[in-house]
Order: sequence, then C-alpha cells, then structure tokens
Amino acid sequence: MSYVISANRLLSGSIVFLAADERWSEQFEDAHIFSSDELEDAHQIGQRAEKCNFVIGSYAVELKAGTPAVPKRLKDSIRRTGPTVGDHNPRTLGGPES
Amino acid sequence: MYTYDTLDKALLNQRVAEFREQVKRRIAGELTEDQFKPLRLMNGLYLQTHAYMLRVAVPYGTLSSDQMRKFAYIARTYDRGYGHFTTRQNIQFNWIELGSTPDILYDLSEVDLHAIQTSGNCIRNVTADPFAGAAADELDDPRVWSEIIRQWSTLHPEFSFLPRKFKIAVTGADADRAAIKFHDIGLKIVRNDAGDLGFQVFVGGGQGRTPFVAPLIRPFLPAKDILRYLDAALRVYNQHGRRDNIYKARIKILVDSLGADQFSLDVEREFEKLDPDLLAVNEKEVERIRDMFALPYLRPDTDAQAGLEQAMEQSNPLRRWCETNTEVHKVPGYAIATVSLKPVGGIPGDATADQMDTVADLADRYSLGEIRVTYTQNLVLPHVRVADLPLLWAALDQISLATANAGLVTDIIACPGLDYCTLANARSIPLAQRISERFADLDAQHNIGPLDIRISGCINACGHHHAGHIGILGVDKKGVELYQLTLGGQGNRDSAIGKILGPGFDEDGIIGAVENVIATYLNMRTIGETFSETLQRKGHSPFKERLYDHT
Repeated sequence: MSYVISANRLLSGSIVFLAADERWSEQFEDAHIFSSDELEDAHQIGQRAEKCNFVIGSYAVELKAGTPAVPKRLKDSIRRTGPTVGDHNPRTLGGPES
Repeated sequence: MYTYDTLDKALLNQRVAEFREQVKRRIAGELTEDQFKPLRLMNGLYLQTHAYMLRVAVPYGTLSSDQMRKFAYIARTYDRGYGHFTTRQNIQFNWIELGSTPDILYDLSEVDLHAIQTSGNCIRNVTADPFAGAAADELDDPRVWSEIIRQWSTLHPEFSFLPRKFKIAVTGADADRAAIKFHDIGLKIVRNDAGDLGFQVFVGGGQGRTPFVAPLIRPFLPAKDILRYLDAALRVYNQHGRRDNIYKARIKILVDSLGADQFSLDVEREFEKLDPDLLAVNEKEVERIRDMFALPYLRPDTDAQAGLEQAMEQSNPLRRWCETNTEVHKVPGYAIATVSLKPVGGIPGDATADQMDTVADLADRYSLGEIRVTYTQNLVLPHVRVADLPLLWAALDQISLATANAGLVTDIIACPGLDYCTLANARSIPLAQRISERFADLDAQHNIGPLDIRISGCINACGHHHAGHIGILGVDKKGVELYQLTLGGQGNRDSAIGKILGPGFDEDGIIGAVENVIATYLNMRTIGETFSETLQRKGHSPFKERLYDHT
C-alpha cells in the first residue's frame, strides 16, 4: 500500500501535503508517496513539523492502488478537492510557513 | 432585547485579551497544540476538515439587527462571505484563520456576542423557543429565564469540567418549538393550581448514539428555585456521571441507569442541602431582565387580516408563503414570519453576508429590530405587522429567502456532514439538496403537508435524525457512504425517537427510498391526515413492504 502525509497549517488551517524535501504543499499532486515500509519515517517528519509549529494533525492518507495517485477514503478526497457542495475550493489563503 | 451590563462587557473584554495572548503564545511556539487545543475550544474554535471553524453563540436564539450585521461583517471580512446557522441556534464560520480569531472575538464583543461555552464539557448556550415573546400560545417569555441561566452558568467554576457537554432548552409554550425533551435538561414554563409560575423539569434527553426522550423528574418547580434545582441536578451529574467512557458520559445515561425516580430523589436530596437563599432568583433581577425583553406597546389591528386576504387573492406565491411561513402573534394584527434558509437545492442553514445584512435591514423596518434563529436552521422575524407581510415577502423574495416551505418536505435539517466535519462518516448536505430538488414543486410540497426530514452524517446526530418524521443517518460501510432510514421521530411536545426501517441504502437508493415513503403515505392517507398521523395509524409495515419487498 502507498500513502501520502497530510496535515493542516497551524496559522491558516489550510490542508497541506508533505512533499519532497520535507516541504508542505497545498497541492495534492506535489505530495511525496510513501510505501508501507517508509511510513514510520514519514510520520516522524510530520511530527517534527508539528513540533516546529508549521502544521497540526499530521496523518497518513491511504491511496488507492494504481496511478494516478488518489486517496482511498472519501473524506481524504474531500480534503483534497474541497467540499462537494457550494462553490469552495480547498483553502489556499495561507502563505508559506515552511 | 437584553443588553450586557458593565460586568458582562468586562468579562468579554478580559476573555478576548486572554485569548489574544494565548494565540500569540501558540504562534510563537510557547504552547504546544496539546496545551492550546482545550484553550481554543473554550473559545469556540475548532479545527475542521478544511480550516478552523468558529462557532458563535446566539443567546437563546435571539439576535438584534446590529448583531446580525456583525455576523455579515465577519463573514465578509474574515470568512468566505457566508455563515452557517446550526441546529443549536448558533452560527458557524467555516473558513477562519487562527491569527484572525482574537480580532473576530473583539468585533463580536462590541455587540455583546461571544463564543464562550460553545464547545467543551460545560453548560452550552441555552436554547429557547424562537417565537419567544411573540407567540400567542406563550405562558411566559423563556428568554427571561434563559438569560438568568446564562448568567448563572457562564464560567461556572463547578460546572466547567463536567463528564460531557450539557445542553439546556427552555420553552414557555405548550407547543414545544425548542425540542426540550431532547436536551440534557428541558424546562417548560407552567403555572400550578395556585397560579404560581414555575417549571416542569425534564432531565436526560438527547440524541446521539443512545437517544432518549427526557423523562419528567419534577412536575412543578417554583420559578425562584430554578438555579438551586439546576445546581442540584448538575451536582448529582458531576459526581455520578461516567468519565471512563465518552459514549456513556452524558446525563441521559446516568438517568437511565439510575431510573428517573431514583435520579429525581438524588436531586431532591441535593436540592435540600443547598442554601435556599443563596441561589434564590432575585425578583428584582427577574424584573430588570423582563423589562429588557418587554414588547413596546403594539396597537392591535383587527382589520389587517382583511387587507392581507385581498393581497393574497392577487398573488398565489404570497398566499403560499403566508400559509406556511407565518404564525399567529400575541398581538392581533401582527405575525411571526419564518425566513426560510432552505431554498431549493441550497445548503440548509447557510446565509450569505449580503442576505444577513438585508435581513437585518428588514428586521429594523418590519420587526422592531429583532431576529431569531431556529434549531431547524431558519431565521424568524418575530413582530411583523400583518399589513406589512406582502412588502416583507417581496423584499425577501429579492434575496432568495422567501421560499414558502417552513415545516414542509424541503425544510430539511442537515448537519454539515463529511463535507466539513471531522467527525462525520457520510455527507448530509448533498442528500438535502437532492431531496429538495426532487420535491421542488411547491404545489406538491403543500399537497404532502407537514413533514420533517432530518439528516445526520454520523451517529452524533447533529442533524436530529432521531427526531425526524423521516430520519436519515449516514454511516461508513467499508469506505462507502450508506444511509439508514428511520420513521416516526418527533421533536415537538410529543417527542419520539424514530425507528430504523431496514437495511441502509446508497446515495441514489436513499433518495428513491424517501420518494417511496412519501408515495406510500400519499396512497394511504385519509383526507387531512398528516404524515405522522398516517404513520401512527398504519404503523411501519406498509412503508417497509414498499421499500424492501421490491428491492
């Protein structure tokens, strides 16, 4: 199985994904994909970012098998694309924090 | 309208300053998230799916026009131009930034509003009949007593860390428009045989995972003893409520496990121990508060109805709106007008900043500057001259808030669901939208008659599905949204919990199931019989057969 790490930015609350080089991006497409074996290390990166107060609530998002990478759970799909109702994109008001 | 005194204002100012400092320390890294989270929750700030969400209390569902304008300002300045009115008569802003929150709380404090006790295991914002002070069937104004309870419960040191959250609702009318029996404590204002004012006290109601209709534990409590009795009941709960299991921590579980009679005895014992004078409600204070809520003299106008009839003859849409969205006022010639926040295909409870501003202006022009929020996620203008109803209706129509559906099939309660809420298992709002679009035809809606559809996206039941004539509960079954259907719930004087009809449905299936339930009712009803009456007469079986024998 493969995963990406997601969290919310501390200041804006925006949804972010852990990209390469331990950057946090608001674009799901930038997310680094981790294998099950790499998950523990990925969690530690998330926790380090939480300790540095860049993000809160980091967790692993399970992906569907195959490409392109898409979240397995509906909740994570909604986090990726925004509410399925109304005219709202995911929040992108937060500036760079990391 | 109640206005805060210097003590209240000082409290709000101190609270804003305190939270500003806490936010500053959090951003500076001096507080960890674990340390900060309980502090932000105490100020109504949640982290939801997409951003921070700020929940602001609307005290007992009553707003002034200036307070509504402040909501519009906050929606426009700090959010995405709208707010969401909730099933607890509150408002939620869904796209808030942490750093803005102290400024928002400061702005709110300027009009006596706050987010205190909108979260946490404390006594939450007291809710009340949204027609309070206007309803013709009212014995006494529940806002007076709600305000007394607000003052007593605000930052109450003994009751700030209860086993779980605690919700109190008050009604002054026999027709329960506050769903009091689905609250931890429900208070109904009554008079005894001697004519004294007091309360019937219901304790241990609630929805969620284990729904209960609250039993009556005190048939008559003298009004002056209300705080002493609440203190006693909360003390028993605080001492004996479970803290080891979050799902068994609400007072309803305690009342059920002890039995209502034993719980009542325990409360009476505690009540006797408390100093009667210390917590006696001060009559002068009651009168001071009562004066603030008192209606100015309104000249009765017994001819107004005839004028309205003429206007309705000219306009069928106006007639429909008056039939469903207006209620009898205590003063002849006045009416209570419900402003529907359920346009066809809309999001239940959402209002844009522009709509809020216009409703505030209309309240000033037509309703003595007063607005109410209902737990059914609508707004109310409580004091409208019958002669002004056509003008009000036309003005509401201009801003898409004149949908003539109060109490009808499209007046759907829905929680935010998976689209916004981190607790949810399934989406609620899209179902509400699809059902509302399916039954968009007003003739059909009026033909169906009174019907409550209520949708929750998880077992916490914020969408009150247990109390819906038709209730829908979203669950997650192996990663797929599944919806259970319940029938027979009621949130009024005859409160009842709906019963699950059978196996759940997928998203398309549940829309068809609702259609089939309604079609079954229409086939079986006698002349003038409502959905609830038909269900009571025929039972669940015909509905079950229709839904499951063909699938």
